[in-house]
Amino acid sequence: MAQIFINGEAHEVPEGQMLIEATDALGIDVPRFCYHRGLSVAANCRMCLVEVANRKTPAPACATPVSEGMEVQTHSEGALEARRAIMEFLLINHPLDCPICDQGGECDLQDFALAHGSGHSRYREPKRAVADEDLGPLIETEMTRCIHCTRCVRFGEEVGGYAELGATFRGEEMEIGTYVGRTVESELSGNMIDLCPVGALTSKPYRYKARVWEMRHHPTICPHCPVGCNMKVEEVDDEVKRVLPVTNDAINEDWICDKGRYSYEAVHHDRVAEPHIKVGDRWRAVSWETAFNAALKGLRSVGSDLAAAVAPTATVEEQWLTQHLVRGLGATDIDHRLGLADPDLDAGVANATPLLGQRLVDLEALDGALVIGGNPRKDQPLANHRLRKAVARGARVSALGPVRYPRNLDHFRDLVHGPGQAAPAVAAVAKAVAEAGGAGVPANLQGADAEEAGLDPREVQELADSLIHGRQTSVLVGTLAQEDPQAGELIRLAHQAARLAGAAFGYLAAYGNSVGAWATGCVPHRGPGGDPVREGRPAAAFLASDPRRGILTLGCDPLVEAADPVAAQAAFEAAELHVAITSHWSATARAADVVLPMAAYPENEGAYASGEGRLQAFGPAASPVGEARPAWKILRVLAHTLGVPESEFVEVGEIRERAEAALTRAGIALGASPPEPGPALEAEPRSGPGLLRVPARHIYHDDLFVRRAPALQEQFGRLTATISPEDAAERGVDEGDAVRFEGPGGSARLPVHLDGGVPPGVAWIPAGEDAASLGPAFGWVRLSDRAAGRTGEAVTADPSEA
Amino acid sequence: MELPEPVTRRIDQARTRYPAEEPRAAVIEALHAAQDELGWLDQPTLDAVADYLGLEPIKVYEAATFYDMFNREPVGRHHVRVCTNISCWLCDSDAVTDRLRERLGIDFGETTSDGRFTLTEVECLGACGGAPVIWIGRSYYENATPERVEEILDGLE
Amino acid sequence: MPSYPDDYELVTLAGAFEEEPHTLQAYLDRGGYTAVAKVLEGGMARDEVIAEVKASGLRGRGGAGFPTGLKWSFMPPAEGGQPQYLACNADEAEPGTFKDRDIMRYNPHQLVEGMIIGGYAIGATVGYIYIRGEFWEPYVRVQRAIDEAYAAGYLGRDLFDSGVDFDLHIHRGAGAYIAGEETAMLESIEGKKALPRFKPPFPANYGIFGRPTTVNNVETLASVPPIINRGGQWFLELGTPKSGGTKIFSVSGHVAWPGNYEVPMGTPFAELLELAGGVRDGNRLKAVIPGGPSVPMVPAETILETRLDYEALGEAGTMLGAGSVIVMDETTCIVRAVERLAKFFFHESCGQCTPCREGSGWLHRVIHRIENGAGRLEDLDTLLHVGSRIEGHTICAFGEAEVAPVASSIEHFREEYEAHIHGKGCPMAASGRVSRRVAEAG
Ligand SMILES: Cc1cc2nc3c(=O)[nH]c(=O)nc-3n(C[C@H](O)[C@H](O)[C@H](O)COP(=O)(O)O)c2cc1C
Ligand code: SF4
Ligand code: FES
Repeated sequence: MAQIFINGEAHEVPEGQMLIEATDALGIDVPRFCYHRGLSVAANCRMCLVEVANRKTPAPACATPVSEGMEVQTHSEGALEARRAIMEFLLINHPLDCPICDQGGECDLQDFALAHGSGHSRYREPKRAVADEDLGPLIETEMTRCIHCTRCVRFGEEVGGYAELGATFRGEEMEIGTYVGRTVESELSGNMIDLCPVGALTSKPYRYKARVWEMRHHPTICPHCPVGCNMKVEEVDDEVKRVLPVTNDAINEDWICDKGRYSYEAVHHDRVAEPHIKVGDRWRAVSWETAFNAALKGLRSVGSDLAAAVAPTATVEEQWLTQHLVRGLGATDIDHRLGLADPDLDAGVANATPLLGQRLVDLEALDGALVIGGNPRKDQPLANHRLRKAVARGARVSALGPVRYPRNLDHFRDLVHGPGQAAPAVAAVAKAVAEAGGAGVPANLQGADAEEAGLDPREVQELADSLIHGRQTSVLVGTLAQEDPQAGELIRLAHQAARLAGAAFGYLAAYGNSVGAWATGCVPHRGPGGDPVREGRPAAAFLASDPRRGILTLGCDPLVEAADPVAAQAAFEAAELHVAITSHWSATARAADVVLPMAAYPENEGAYASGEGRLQAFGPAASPVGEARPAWKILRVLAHTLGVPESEFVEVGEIRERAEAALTRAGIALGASPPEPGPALEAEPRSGPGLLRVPARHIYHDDLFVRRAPALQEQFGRLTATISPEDAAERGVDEGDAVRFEGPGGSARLPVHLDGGVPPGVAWIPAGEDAASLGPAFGWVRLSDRAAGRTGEAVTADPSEA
Repeated sequence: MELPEPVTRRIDQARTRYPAEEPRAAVIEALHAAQDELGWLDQPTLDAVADYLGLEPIKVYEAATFYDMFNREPVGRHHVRVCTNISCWLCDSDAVTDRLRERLGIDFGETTSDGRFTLTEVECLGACGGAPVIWIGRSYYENATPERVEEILDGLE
Repeated sequence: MPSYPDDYELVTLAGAFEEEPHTLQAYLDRGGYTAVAKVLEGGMARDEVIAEVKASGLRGRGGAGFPTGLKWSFMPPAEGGQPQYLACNADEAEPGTFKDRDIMRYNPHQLVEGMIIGGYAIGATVGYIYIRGEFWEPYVRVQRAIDEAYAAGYLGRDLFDSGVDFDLHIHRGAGAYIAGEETAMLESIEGKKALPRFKPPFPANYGIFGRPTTVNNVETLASVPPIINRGGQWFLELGTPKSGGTKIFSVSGHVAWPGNYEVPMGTPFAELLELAGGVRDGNRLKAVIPGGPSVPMVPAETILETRLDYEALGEAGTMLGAGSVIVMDETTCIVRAVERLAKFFFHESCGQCTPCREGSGWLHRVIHRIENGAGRLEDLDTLLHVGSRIEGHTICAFGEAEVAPVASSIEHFREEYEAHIHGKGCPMAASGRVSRRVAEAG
């Protein structure tokens, strides 16, 4: 600590801190444009100039390290005069268009102009004009307003992990932009809008929608991924206008990803505004009473021959209540893992609650990590940010998966295994870890062979070393691995590798409240908190070959999200009754008999359990659209009317108590480790004609809500099939070609993207509406003969032949 | 687009001067190499340089637009650059630039319609002992006068 | 032709009057590479080298005049195989400066030798010479010198069997004055835009690729071998007690024989002017910028009474800078001259700091207006006010530099600005361009 004097008062501040950090911590106001605590220091705006004793010139507080005995004046005449001068310089080329600027009311320049401007300017020369650039559907530009603080540029490089914006040209001609009019693609791009201290970068969807001072803010929690970012919803007259991050250093710091920021638009799109029942082939909007009666009648008739599919983005209350209802009716089939393709996971691993196994902040302190079958950059952008910070500190973070994702962090090793070889590849890693550890190779790993799994043994060895030799390391299982047809074996092996390496074990799950769903009993083999239940069958069964007479869906869209959407279609067709509780129209809703409109997350209240084990509650920001009701209320009525005991809940809090108790019993706590997996069952290798499909998720196709958000869909939402340049060349396919793919379930026409990160023999086609018709997400696909302009094309991707 | 072999060769050579993990350090030399070969730097060339060095394209755009020597527009076969900064001006670079304009029929920043000459005004070339200075290709022509302008241009094809 | 008095020693321009002075053979004939041998073979410790340089009074010739030995002593000891760097600043873009070019053209080996010694002294095993991209001939000559030095074993591994390694590379610039600012140069060597870095951290702690680095000018480094060979004391005594050695003055503008003159520090300006053949055409001297446009200009009466060293020029209200003496005779329109310099600084501002980015254009536009007859009296106050808000408010010294010509010219030649304003135009441009008229008359 150092003692310094600010405006004559003594303060103890940490040695080496920048002055502005000290004044910020002490609540002393020092204005700034370029400084931001989450970015590197640029010291270019000069707005934070203060006077420091014994220095001839004013010092930028953002770049001046404190030192013992330093005497600082932040509001002396000299400091104020320096800032007035900066304001005058900034304003000479800044347009005076505050009345039409979306930043109005939250513009640092405007605020400081009132506080520091000299009122009149001496500047009589012509103002500079700057051309605007189209950065895509999310960010609006008005570059004459830019004050060149370079926050956006630094953000892209330092937090986004990939520089898209830059400052081209020099001096007064300096321009912020992509130089070539490219769409900014970072999944974190919206943060640049928040960072921009003026109205140069604003939100395109929000453009001219509201003025800041008329909006009301409501704190909320992002439903989309297990990070659980803290956010606020802003609304005018009950209409949601935008979503912004709320700073929480333990979770999202100052950021949120674009999915969290822009998905709110779905509140106004494709909503189910009234209850509906299907009469013959036609939909009829009906009263709640009529709809309830139809649902109740159907549910009574199917009785315990009922299955329920629950969204992993539902609240813990909704999840708990759904299983309470379903089990109260004597039914057993309930699941939230619609995409899970391993039918044996529950019998083997038993409990795969996808806890991170550490706190988010701990990720930042890792010095080694292995992510298996996951793309944290898109699955959990802000957990990925922590990993990037670890890498910046020198951590060796590696990846192992079926494809090499476009990266935004420097992997130590980025390994791609052979098609369908996920589990054998993890076994090879575990074996290498065992060998390097020197304690002997366990029997189950004796047969593992890196080369057979399509890996370079030397790289596997280096990766293993990095896990063993770090002080604090982690093995993290990603979403793709969790949904793999051999997920059970894979998870078991990953856990074994972690144990052998002395690393923490955890999951990087993709869906907002999967932890809550596991803990509240939205799995067929475990009740709330792990209570014993009469075992049911997983979604992979009841949404496929073996349907029930009745299906209840809550907030999800199995006809897109199921491991095999085509099989799910058959299940729906076979069922007598399908009650869909949903906020949006979807294929699933259209296949229902009764549609009960539920509140979307900004209209809802409840809580989510995050990956690091934090239960975070939120309240409604707006009233539900039309006749929609919070799902917990809908479920409560169904349960109560159907005579399920203990269903007389008046407030959501009463349900939360039960859910929370379940979470506690399940061991969900901040930083908690996931349960130890049981022994895996032998899994079948995959094979089929053509390319093996890898359904690695697309960030903007994950859940129904985000699929209804127009701006996110407009440019970023296109599903593409990514294949290797080799396979493309062989089939005469070029980048961007729209190609018909055939899968076991049917065909789909998709634009093709070529990427060397996808190995030959693999097609990376995320799950999503455009690809649902192909059938199993982990199936094979073939480029249709016609599309490829050839005949007889077929490649075998049977691993045994590879 | 693929960079021509002489360009990649020079880039490879430049890379050896810096630590292997610092490919960006070779950007300026790479742009020199590309421009020497191709005359100017269009976007595909800049993208190819970025790709070759494994950098985000914007980093190459930044360098290409910051440094004056990089042509972002096509230039004539002979890029005639004349210094008008203080020492050259004191030694009457105005007369030299007037003669250049007259003779070539173009102003600063323009290229003759036959594509032979581009005329550019530049800042101090670091040869003020021989002011005024004209710079064409790799050569400096010092102590320029209107008469010498004629001789110099006559000597270029 | 300049004629030096017999006892003048040429230190960095040694050999400049020989045929083919740039070859290794010529340099060896002049006693080249004996200094580095003395250091490495003779087992001089790093501290001893630094002490010798300190004793010489050598101050940085790039403009700032920082004592070289002291700067070298800031470098941390080299640790565990991690590289440290010596960067030679051969950007030479300060208008009126052309001395480093001649050192590189005529005496490149002395620079190379100076860098080997400097590198050894500061614990650097790699050196970069940052040569401005426009310089082709100097680049070729220095590259040839480097190649020759490698071939002769003066560069590379285990020099003189001492276990010392030193690699030397050229890094070419591409046209940006600001790249001459030392931290901007570091960025440029990293392949980035030449944006000056905020200090601290200083290059000695955080330089190229984040490693400890020392930046020195060409002339500074070329001064080192003779200092080692003949002793710091010898060098010091060539000049004045506080400004040791000789210095190359690049004389340009209105003199009979523009060119580089290496003279002892402390030489009276009048003497230098005489060496350069005096003001051309017998005209009267009006003003001189003694160190490049980054330093204030001074009127004839002042400079004619001043000696050329750090202290004397400081007392005269200006600076030695890079020793770029720009001479303006009575025919010069000061406003027009300053307008050209303001345009230069406007064009060259890197653009990161608000005051410099916005202020450099402001200054230029106002002066341009005055020169073109649309000036107002209050413009002069605006210029001074704007200048005072740029100076001291920026990351790098470019801020001070761009203000120097404006503020000093208003201080010394205010009446000329006023004449432009009152007369609604340039009084000296009435019959065509000033310089030419005089040149033709001459
Ligand atoms: C705007 C600006 C431009 C500069 N240009 C040069 C230059 O072209 N050459 C040079 O040697 N030093 C230049 N300098 C000075 C360098 O920053 C640095 O002080 C010098 O290279 C250090 O070497 P020295 O100590 O040997 O003089 C410049 C400084 C500034 C602020
Ligand atoms: S003072 Fe000017 S040149 Fe120097 S860093 Fe700031 S903007 Fe760039
Ligand atoms: S906030 Fe310190 S210079 Fe911008």
